[in-house]
Amino acid sequence: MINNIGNSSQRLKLAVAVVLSGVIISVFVSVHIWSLSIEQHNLLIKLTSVAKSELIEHHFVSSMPAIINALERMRNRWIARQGPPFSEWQLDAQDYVNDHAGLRAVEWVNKDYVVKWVVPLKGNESAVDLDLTFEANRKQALDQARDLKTYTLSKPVQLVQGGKGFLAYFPIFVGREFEGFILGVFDVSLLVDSLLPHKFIEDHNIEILSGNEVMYSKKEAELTYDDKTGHTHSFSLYGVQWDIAVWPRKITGVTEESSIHYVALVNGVLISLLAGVALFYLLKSLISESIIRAKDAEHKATLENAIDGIITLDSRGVIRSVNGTAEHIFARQRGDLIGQKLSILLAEPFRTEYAQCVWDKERLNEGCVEIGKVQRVAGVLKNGHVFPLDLGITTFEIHKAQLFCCVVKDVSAAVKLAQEKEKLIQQLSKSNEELDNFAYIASHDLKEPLRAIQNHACFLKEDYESILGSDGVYKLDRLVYLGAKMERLISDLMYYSRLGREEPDMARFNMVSAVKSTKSRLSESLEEHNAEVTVSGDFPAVYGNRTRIEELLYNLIINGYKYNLSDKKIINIRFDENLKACCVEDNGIGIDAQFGDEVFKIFKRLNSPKKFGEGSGAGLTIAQKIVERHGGRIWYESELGNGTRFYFTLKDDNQNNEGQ
Amino acid sequence: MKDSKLILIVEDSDDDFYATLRAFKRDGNLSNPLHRCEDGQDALDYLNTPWSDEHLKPAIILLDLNLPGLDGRRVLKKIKQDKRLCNIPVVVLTTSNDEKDIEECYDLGANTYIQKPVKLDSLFEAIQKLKDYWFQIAILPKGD
Repeated sequence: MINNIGNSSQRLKLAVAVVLSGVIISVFVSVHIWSLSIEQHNLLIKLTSVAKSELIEHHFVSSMPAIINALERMRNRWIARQGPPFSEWQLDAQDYVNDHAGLRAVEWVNKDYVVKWVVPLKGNESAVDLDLTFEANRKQALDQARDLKTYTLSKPVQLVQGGKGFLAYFPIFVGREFEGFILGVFDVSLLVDSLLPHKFIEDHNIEILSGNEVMYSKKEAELTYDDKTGHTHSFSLYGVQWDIAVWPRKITGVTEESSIHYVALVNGVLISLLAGVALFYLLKSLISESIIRAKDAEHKATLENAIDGIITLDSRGVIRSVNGTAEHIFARQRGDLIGQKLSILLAEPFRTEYAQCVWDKERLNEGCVEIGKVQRVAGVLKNGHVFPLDLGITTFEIHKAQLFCCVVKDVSAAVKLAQEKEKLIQQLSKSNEELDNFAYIASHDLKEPLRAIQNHACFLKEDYESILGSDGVYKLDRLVYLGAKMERLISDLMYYSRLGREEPDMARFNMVSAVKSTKSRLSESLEEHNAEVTVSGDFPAVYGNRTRIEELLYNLIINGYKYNLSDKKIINIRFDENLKACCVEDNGIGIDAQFGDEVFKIFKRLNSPKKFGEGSGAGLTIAQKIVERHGGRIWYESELGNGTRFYFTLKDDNQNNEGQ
Repeated sequence: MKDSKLILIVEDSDDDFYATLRAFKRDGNLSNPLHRCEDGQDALDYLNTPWSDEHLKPAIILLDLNLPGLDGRRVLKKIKQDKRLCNIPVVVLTTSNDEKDIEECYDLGANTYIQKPVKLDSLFEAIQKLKDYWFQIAILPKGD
């Protein structure tokens, strides 16, 4: 299912690819058919050209021998008549000229190569009395015909009458006497024009070449020869090479027809595209349908297996659907629930409240239900078991119908846990309070008899000193001293206990001024111990209880000069930028690393009181407590004989800023 | 001349009372009459009884805070709320130096708050000063 959805985009891509390639192939085929059809069309035209050129050749080849024969007959008749009179010859020649279209003129050339008789005269006046030796080509042909005593065809020449053609020389020998030539003037234009029907020439261009000489040309300038549609037919006749090129004259015919090809092409492409688009949408809808099906199944499975129970209600607040988790929570089958009101799942007083709800988005909030908020209500099972239930209702619209989605969660375990936790917290805070009170009251109550003992010792000494003697006085003094010592221990214990109980007033203050106050409080003691307290560098503003912080400094400073054997005892106070902590450093005896955090233990003393003077051993414990009460940390770095650096931090500065 | 300015001491501890008394008598000339109440209720009973020559109105009250039963704070409150008693100066004399106690007592109308010194010498000194102040320097309201 999930894979189907995962692959859907790939499938869509595949569909697009198939459709696209189909369209491309289809367009390609259309174009190919179009070009094939044009080619076919051209081939048809070419075939026409071929046919026409062959027809021209056929006419050429079939008419030429007749003319040659006719001229030969003219010569033979000359020989038979031994020089016919001009009138007879003229009639004869006129017949031939009339019969053979390509024959422009028949002439008699005398043995000096001068044209004497010309038939017909009209149009050929320029040939009369023309000395044919004027041109090498003609002379050579005449010489060749005379010498070989056989007819000779000249190469294509420019006719003196105009136009292009060639000449056929028939030498006349009467017996051994050379009497000149019968000369046939072939006019290619005349020949071709007579050969070809008007219609035949009308739609085609024709060009006839002999060698490189254009003998005949009937063409329109707009279309040049193209081998695709035209054809050049080559043949040899009487030793002369002929090329007949035929190609269609106009493109109009072609364009008229080819527009059909274009229409077909455009049609083909359009149909391909349309078919492609249609196919694409079909595929797409098929794929999306399968995606929708897969997603639908996924949504159903998700809902069914959600951690919370899900119940949907219609616009009247009647249950429409129930998921598996909700079935489990209420231990009822969905068939049992669908069609019922939501309120049947709730215990009183919620059952009544929800039964009275108007299930309308606007009006729902007037009653007990708050849309979009989880409310703690009570659910009820069929057997009457009531349990705490979290119920959140949201609303949505489908096809203009207002529906509601209820998310339900059995919170019995959480509620039980919370109750137990609350109970434990209460017990703990009670026992803490009792402990605090115990320490306070105990130490307070301890003090009174202690003081009384001391007082009575004093009174005893005052009233009976003379009787007691020096030994008795010493013992009484000792009693007073020990009582005082115990009192100090109790005081420290009381103070320590009070530090834990009180919630100090916090404020922002300047550390340097706090150090100054502490210094002045200690001034006598400092002088007595030859000690100096210095401050170096700047301090960030401190947030805390100034009185307590001064006590903290007080304890650390005392510690600094008390356990110090230097002549000049120096206690420096600075802010360490790297550690972001205040540092109280001394040049004292240092602390052996083995003691670690033991220095902070109450009444723990590392040195003999005889060596370093009296103290309860609560100073560092109190210092630690003050720092902890400020949300900070205290630690030290030390090396025996090299002094000690006590570091302490207070609450995070950012929090302090927020707190102000 | 017998001074009629009565000192009322509310103190449950015999030892403390003895020490205080000794401090008062230390310079040997305590001319004031002195009355001791052992607990809060005892003190209120004394104070609520009409004054007479045998039952003098106290010129000053020394009040311990930690008393059995009705404790010193409540006694102080009752004194200061009573129109008949409120003009009597009350000196709180206690072992407690808890700031909360100090603040509370002044709020309730205590005139002085003294922590019982730990050392006897200091106690003697404190009581001497107290005596000097209240009976030599300060002018007290006239008794009814």
